[in-house]
Amino acid sequence: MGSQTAAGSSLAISAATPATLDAAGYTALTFTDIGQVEKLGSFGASFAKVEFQPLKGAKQKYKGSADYGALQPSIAIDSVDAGQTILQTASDDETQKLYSFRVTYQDGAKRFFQGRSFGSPETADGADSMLMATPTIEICTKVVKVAAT
Amino acid sequence: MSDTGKTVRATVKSDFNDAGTERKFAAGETHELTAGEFENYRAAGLVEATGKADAADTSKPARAKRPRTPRVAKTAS
Repeated sequence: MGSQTAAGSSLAISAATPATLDAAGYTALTFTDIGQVEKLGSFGASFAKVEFQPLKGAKQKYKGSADYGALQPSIAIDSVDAGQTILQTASDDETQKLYSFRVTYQDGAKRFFQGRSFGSPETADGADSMLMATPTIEICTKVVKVAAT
Repeated sequence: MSDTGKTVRATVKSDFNDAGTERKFAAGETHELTAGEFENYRAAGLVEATGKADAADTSKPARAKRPRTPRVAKTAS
């Protein structure tokens, strides 16, 4: 499939870590879907820009360190949702434990990575809005992409 | 944890729903969960292995020491 909408995409979490950081390692894990996700936001690696301006010639640009980015989903709080509870546990976790995440797109393509949740602030906005949480999941490993089958 | 076909009997500690499987769990119920499901729910404090809480109470009492009987030396006949 070529283009697709974001509808039907999902975010899931696992308390376990894969034996290998590849598709086989991640697909062996059991993930629990996080319910009531409104938006996933953008995620993916970006590289620091290293520049050098020689006295003679144009500015040179190099790729520096990779930053795998962060996922900032917006979620309507559901206190009895298992996936949200695991994510909240990850947010409250004061250790450096990594949790595994899976993003599934409408066509079945998947993105796997490990990360740490650096908090999950809650937003109580106007009367006609849902109570929302906006966790920040810092991605700590390369994002493994698995195409739709 | 990966699913290796092994299941765990778990007791639900508080009501929760699984959005992916659409299963509903009520406090006090026992469910047969895959090892992976159990590990995720347990990490969130939603379930515990059935019988774990009773394990301390049902452990066998320490066995009383048997009185030692002196060995009788063998005598050549």
